[in-house]
Amino acid sequence: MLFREIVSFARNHVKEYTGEDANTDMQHLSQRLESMEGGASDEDLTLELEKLIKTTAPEVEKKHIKEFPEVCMFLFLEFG
Amino acid sequence: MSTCKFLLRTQSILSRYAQVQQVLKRNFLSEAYKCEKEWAARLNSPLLAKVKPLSLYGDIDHSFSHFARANPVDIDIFLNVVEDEDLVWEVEDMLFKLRLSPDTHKMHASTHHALIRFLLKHGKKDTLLRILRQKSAYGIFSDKFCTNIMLDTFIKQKDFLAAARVAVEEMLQEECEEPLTVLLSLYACHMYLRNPQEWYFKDEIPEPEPEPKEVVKIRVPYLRNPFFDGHFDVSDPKVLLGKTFVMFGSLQKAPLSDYYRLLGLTLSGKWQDALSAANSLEEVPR
Repeated sequence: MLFREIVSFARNHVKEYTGEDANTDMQHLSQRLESMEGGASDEDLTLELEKLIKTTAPEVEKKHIKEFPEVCMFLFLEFG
Repeated sequence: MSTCKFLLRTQSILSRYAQVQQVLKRNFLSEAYKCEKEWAARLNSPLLAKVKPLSLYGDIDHSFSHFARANPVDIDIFLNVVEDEDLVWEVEDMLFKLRLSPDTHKMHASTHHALIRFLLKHGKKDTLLRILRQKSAYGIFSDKFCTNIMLDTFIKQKDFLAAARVAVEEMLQEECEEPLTVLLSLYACHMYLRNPQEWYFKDEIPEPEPEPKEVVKIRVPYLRNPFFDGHFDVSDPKVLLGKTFVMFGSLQKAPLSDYYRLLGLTLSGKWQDALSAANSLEEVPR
């Protein structure tokens, strides 16, 4: 679960920077996250992102391919 | 008749299957996005066709040596015609000198575009990332096309460190207009976190100065207090990634926005904000 990964990361982060196991806010955050059940996993998030990218990309690509020659023209006109 | 119908139906199913396979196999951006053909067509322009890069470089370098300045149009033309990999150092040196000259603000948009394409073409990732990072030394800003091309290229090469560094540059410039750039940036940072590597290259880490044996006291008129803007001054990779997650994650819909905000605040070490983000996350039924 991503929550557990975040908690584990946060603990290591605090330990690395302050040498303490956890400060008060950190402890509250850890407890809160550990008490949560469910939630997205690391793989869930990347899959969701991949899906979004693959649905967004064709439209952006189409628009870009259409307007790029004009952008090139604009770039080269600067020489004048 | 029935055989014919069966064949037609089979053909239709196979064609649909091929389409589904194509969607599944589809990479983030196709090769067509790079518009290489259109970009290469610039060399057909009568002006660029007659330029000899080495000779032009000699003229520009002479101008810098004697007058400490050069015409930004000449530099733009040079960058648009240069193709030789051996001239990377000269290109970098020229941009550095232009940045120190009073004509730096006249640098053309095509100079930025041409430089990124040139370095990307020759796989000079380290140089490219260093130049993009050191904006005060080179003044190079990527446009949305180049950013997408860089992100896509590095992600396909599985070089998530390079892609994440491009994403962080976008975050620092607060470039959130292009949805695809935002998504690719989030993806790059997420994939980098799965297998983190040393963020800075060896030549980017300054060597610590040796402490003087004797304490020398000097009288100064005033002391400038150290200033930390919390944005451009941030050098900790974890905080940089955290800020990127918070900024780009908040542009997504739930649950992506909630998770990336929480992850970003945690990476930035903002425990109180992370705690309130976690509390609000728990309130939402999943």
